[in-house]
Amino acid sequence: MKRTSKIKITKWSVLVGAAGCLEVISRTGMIKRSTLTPVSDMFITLWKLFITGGIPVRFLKDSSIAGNFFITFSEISLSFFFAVLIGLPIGILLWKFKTLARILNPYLVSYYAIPVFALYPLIVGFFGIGILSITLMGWLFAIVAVIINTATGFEEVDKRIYPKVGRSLRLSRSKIFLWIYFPGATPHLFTGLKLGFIYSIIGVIASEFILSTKGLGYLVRFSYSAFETEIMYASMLLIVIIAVLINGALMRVEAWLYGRQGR
Amino acid sequence: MAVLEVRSLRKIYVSQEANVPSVEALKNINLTVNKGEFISIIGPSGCGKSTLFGVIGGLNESTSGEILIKGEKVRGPHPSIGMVFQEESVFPWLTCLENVEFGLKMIGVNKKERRTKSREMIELVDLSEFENHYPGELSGGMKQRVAIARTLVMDPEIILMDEPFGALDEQTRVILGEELLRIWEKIRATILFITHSISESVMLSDRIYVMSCRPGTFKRTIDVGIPRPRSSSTISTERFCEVTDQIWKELKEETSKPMKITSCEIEKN
Repeated sequence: MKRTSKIKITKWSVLVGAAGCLEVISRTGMIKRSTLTPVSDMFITLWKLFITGGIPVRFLKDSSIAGNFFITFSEISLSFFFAVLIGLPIGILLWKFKTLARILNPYLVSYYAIPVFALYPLIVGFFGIGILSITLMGWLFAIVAVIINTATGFEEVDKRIYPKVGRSLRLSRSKIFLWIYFPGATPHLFTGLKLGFIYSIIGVIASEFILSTKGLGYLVRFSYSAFETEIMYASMLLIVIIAVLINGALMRVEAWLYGRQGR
Repeated sequence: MAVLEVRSLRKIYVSQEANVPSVEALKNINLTVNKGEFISIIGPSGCGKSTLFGVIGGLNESTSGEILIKGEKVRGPHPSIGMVFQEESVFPWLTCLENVEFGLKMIGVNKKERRTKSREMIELVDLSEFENHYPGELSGGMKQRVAIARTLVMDPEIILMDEPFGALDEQTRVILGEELLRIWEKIRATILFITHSISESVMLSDRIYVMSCRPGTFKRTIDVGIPRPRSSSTISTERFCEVTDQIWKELKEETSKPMKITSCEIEKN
């Protein structure tokens, strides 16, 4: 058997094995059902939720799966969109203006050492509880990853001879930027986008735990406090599935973009 | 007829920091290259060869002196000059063919024409099989061939080459040197070749400028005088050994000099 297929099989076995262990632990009663649902039940519950389209938890504000999903999806998309829209130009500015970069660098580098979530009372104070605050948290979490990677990407091109090739061909500044810096920085730009997207997801879901009345994160928290363990695990599973799917898609795009280039 | 002339060129790297002295990299550089010649500049590492390359190519400014192309004073990159860099310069995000096409695309040559021209050049450097490969899939020598083709496709009258085979192993270097001679004889361009390899310079050139160190200046010019066409058997001729020996003696003096940076006064104007 080829090495790659061996690795592939082992990778999947680890996942299936872990799920199997959880299944056995909860089925044999080593851990109470109210604490850990068997993995198979998580899937069954999630499936039922999807078929009925409703979430059977009392006092839930929005009990439709689609509604909660849509809210979370919009928050993630919005926070990511604005993280890119604002982060990309800031990254380029940091690369263009070295003095600015030197001033901001310590803040940017230590940014992720500060738990942004600790600031949530501040955000609630200003913007209240709701979509805006959650989107803002996701945005705050994502934007710096985009900024840092954008700046790094362009700086990497500066370290290479590529811009000089453009100058020797007597290209204008804008052409050099568009045709040399931009494609040259793509791998880093993409890393920024990928991280930014993942941070958006984390930021949004985590914020929904604390400052929301809708969405998948809220669903997890609400069913947890309502002792609806099965629903809670089903929602967690749904979040994991969404994250894995999105990440898989991003990796596909990456491979398609510059898989053969070997860089 | 002189296609390229360099007159009393001087280059000082002015220091921005107070405690770092400015460095005179090039001093009194005079150079004449006639049409169709293959000229080499040889010197120990750090003597300012690459600085000179950048200045002649118009990428760096000189402090004083002038550069003339076909009798006309120039500043900045000139369309008659094509540059081949020492570092890996082919774009990893483009295929070989796209790399070669790049310059033509930028000046707005239509797709059909630039494709035909680029394919011709790729064939000339013997890479037709690999035209749709990305540089990441090629060896170092092949990448340099792409870089050469990319420069040739712009049809430059003068080709500046800064240690184009410097990063390659000995065999590849010799083979590419021979290839370069074959190409040069075919396209009849003028080549100014910068190298630190003595045998490479003797093998390829009509005339060799030997450079001294810190500040870099030409200390001697040697006419090679080995008949063309040359091949790998040229290495065993008497003249080859003679010229090699002369250059070696000049360079030995340079490399045995103590490595010190000569600082110079910042000229205030």
